Amino acid sequence: MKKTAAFMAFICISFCLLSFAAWAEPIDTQRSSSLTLQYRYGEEVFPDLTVQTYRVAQVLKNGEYSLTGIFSKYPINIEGIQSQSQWRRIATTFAAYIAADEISATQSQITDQEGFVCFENLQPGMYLTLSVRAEKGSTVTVFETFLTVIPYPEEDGNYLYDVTAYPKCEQFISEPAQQSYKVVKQWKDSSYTDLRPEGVTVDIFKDGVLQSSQVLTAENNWCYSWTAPDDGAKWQAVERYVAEYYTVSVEEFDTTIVITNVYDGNEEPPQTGDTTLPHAYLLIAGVLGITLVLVAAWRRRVGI
Amino acid sequence: MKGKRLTLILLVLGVLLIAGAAGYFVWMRYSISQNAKYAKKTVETLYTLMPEVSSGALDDRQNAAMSAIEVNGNSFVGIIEVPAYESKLPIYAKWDGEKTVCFPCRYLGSLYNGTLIIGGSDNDGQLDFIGEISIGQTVYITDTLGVRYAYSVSSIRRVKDVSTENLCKEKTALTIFAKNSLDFDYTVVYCDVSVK
Repeated sequence: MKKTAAFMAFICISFCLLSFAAWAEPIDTQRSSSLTLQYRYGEEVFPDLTVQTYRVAQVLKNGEYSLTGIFSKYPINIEGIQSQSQWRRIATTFAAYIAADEISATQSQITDQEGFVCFENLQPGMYLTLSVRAEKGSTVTVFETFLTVIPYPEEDGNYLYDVTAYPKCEQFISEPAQQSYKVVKQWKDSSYTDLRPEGVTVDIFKDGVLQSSQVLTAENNWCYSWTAPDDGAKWQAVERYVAEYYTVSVEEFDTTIVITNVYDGNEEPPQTGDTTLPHAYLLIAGVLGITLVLVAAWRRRVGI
Repeated sequence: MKGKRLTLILLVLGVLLIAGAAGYFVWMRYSISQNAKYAKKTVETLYTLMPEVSSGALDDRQNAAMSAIEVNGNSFVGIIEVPAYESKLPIYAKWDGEKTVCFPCRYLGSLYNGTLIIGGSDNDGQLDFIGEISIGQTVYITDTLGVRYAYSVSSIRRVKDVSTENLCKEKTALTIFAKNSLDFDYTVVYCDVSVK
């Protein structure tokens, strides 16, 4: 009886393991894939937009990604990404380096009359599609830069090798007034300040064209600001020569570009235990002083 | 003669002690005032270096470390704000006992994974609200990206031990502590993420 039960348990476990293995099939890293995008804002579609996509990372059979080609030289961490904000940060950083180093796209296509564009014969990997801007009169529509993975993992454990996506966008009215912008360096290094360089050089781009190079140091609080017309132009910044031990990430807010250098150092728990009590010493000194004066006055009075 | 000399010595010593205590008191009040002004100016500078402030909610992130902005050679990870007491202070990036007279310091942890512990002084213009703050009041932490997170005071304790082990016993998202000026105890304020 016991042997039968053990044998049945073995069969069940083996079946489960085989099922799991079958479910988690390896990725076909050589399969021809495609990426279809539609550029629309509500009911409005955007034809004749030039869309560029870049293969920034290759995918391994186990689903892990590693930077590939020219992107492998950039100090950008793409491991363990868990949130949308992290994805956005990485996409922004890649886009900044593409503009700075004039990297050619993996593929470039123009949207059709329905706003669709299809990139075919793609190799599986991580793709960055650059921001696209459309102007109609004073109305500007900006489609964001984003990352897509091919194949896309589905809930049932299968992979989708022909991916369709709808880039997010926002619309605004272009204002002719001047706008103040700034680029700021921040540090995520557990305050290992000894590793920080004395200065960093930052290249600033407007719509992909280099505008200026600035040196950020402690003296200017690692910040550079400038004014420019608020015409919906895309401002980007990259840090040249990232210091040793650091990786870099770029985040863009309305008028602020934040470049963060990240160093994953371990932090030692600090010590507290301040035993000074200045008010007590003050009180003691004051009371003692008054006592001495009173004693002196008494001695004088009694003629000692 | 000897008696008169001793009387004179006592008098002079007494006067010197009183003058010294008075002088030290004046210097101490001046330092506290200057430190408060410096902290306020630092907050103003921090606001100019971060993106526009907006409300935010915590999300999962792989690297929970807080970014720091460097101002005049000092690194800060954000701003702590208690509107009920009109208090806004910069949070120094790491623990430094000497710096606590100028601004509160991040003792340990990160706001992104709900482990942030901030310590400082209860002097005027510093964490001076700590003796009066009550349960339910709101505390805000603004990080270096201008995202403002809201917390609500859940409990307040007076303790003698603020070792790491003791401070981490109560699992709350934000812990603030300060040494009381007039004794050897510490006031510790525990806060949870506000659900308002």
